[in-house]
Amino acid sequence: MSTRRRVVLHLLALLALVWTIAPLAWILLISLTYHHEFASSTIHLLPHQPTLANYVRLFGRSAADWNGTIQPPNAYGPLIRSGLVNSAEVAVAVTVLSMVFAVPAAYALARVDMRFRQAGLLTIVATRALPPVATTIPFFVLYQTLGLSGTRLGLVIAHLTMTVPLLVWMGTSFFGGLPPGLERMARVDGCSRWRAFTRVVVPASRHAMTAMAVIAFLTSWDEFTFALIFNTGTSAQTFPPALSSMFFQVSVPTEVASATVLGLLPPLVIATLFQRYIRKVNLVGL
Amino acid sequence: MTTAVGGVAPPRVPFSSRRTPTGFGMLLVAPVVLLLLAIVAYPIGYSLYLSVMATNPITGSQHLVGIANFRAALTSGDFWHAAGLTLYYVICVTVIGTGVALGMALLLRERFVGRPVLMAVIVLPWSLSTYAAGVVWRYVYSPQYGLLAGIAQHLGLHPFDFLSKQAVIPSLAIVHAWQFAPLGTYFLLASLQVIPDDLYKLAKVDGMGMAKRFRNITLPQIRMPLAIFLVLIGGQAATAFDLIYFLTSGGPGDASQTLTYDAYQQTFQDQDFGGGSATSWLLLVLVTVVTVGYYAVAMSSSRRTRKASS
Repeated sequence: MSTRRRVVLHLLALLALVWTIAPLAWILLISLTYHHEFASSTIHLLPHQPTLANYVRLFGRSAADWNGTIQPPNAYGPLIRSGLVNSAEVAVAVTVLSMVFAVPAAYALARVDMRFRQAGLLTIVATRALPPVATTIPFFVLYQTLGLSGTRLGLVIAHLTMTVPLLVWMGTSFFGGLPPGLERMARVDGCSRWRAFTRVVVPASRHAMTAMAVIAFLTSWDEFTFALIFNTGTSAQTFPPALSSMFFQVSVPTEVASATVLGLLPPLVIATLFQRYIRKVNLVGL
Repeated sequence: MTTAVGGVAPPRVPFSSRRTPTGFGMLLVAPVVLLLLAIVAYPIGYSLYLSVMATNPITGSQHLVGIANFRAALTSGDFWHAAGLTLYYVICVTVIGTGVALGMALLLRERFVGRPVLMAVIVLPWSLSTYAAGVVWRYVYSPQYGLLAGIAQHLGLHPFDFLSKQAVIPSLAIVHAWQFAPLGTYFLLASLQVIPDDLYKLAKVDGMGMAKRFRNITLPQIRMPLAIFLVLIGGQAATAFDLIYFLTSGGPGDASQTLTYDAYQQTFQDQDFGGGSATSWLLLVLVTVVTVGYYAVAMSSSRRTRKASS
């Protein structure tokens, strides 16, 4: 490789890194800035006086401002905190239920020599094409009558419409790529079809199933439209609508930044921990 | 089944089971089908029903109006304004997103210092979803405290208003591309990595330039993942809502009022359920027509290439 080519390559890599990281780094830096410094007429690219005060005040404590005066806890703290708890509960429930529904179905569609296989798979995947706005209206009306709006259960059900077809798609293309004779050994040993699935196929698919679970969790945690329309202003409000009300009502961007960072940490950490598995997600082999 | 003679226990017949394969498969698929019937088929049906009804938002009374909601949408200037913006937005997101995804994938195919780090961090924007990307980029674009305004200030340049009437759609598209491109990078990289290096070396010996190598070796390998990514990102862009909600709320004026945002406003702010449903359905029809048309073109062109090469 010539030197010039190498230099260009590294410059491009640096550019790619900045493009990816800079927006995230910027909101993190703003969350570590006092409002006083933030509101000054020049924009500081690095805070001169970094502080955790914005976070401390979100967690219901007072904290010292830049000049030592004590600031009361952030009024939006309870909203943001309960939003985080609700988001976690909804996302865990969605993950578990999505796996229970999607994994066996994906397995059957990929590896059981059954009729209607292609038709079943296409129907399930086709439901992904629906724009969310088209389905929010009927859900909204239905939930009003069933008393499900403003509940975590209602949101879990709505999220399943997004995660289950996606996981069936992912799972089918993964199970389809396993070696053809995998279940045969178990069946020769006298296992039933179901036991061959749980004892042989499931353990062999640990990584793919981890990726599926991670994607179900992220999809639910990140979901905004349903959460905004069903649960805004209720006790079942998840993090995104809680952040939305803080965002549109408070004009202290440093405080909003710290709340945003809190809500973004779980997906960022999970994606980083599991990125090896996510990277192998293959929707192409369908 | 006949029992074996001679008192020896009969060997298990490996491929028989009380259930037929279809029965076993159906048993596993049935829960998903029932779930989707309940939570997907119903909303589709109800939304179609709403689109042909006029609903009084206060009394809740409804009466059939046939295609009046659709006619109202199709004859209103707002609808065509929104449709035009949606198309413009989809084109911007697709072009920028595909460019970034392909560029990153080609870059990550090479060897350089810090490659594993870059490989790991590009997943971060994708993990955030579009609403969070909208919030994060609000801090990047803001003329008062934004990162870009800060850089401009330090360089002594005039800050540029990214969310002005003229710039708003491409600016939103950049955010969408930032969030969605990593998925495409992973897709494309997986296909790029199976191309043997020798192929490129041979082509170089044959005197092929970079552009020609890309067209003759790289492109045929990534045609399929690229096609799938284009459909995914196009569909995403056509139905984008949360990103616009956080960054511009359809503004300034109506400069980023796309069809999805229009449907949301009609339904939840103007309480016009019929009009909102009709707009959503028209959007769905548009997306389907474009996707099917695109597939037809992609398929026929790939068939032509295959014919030409055989």
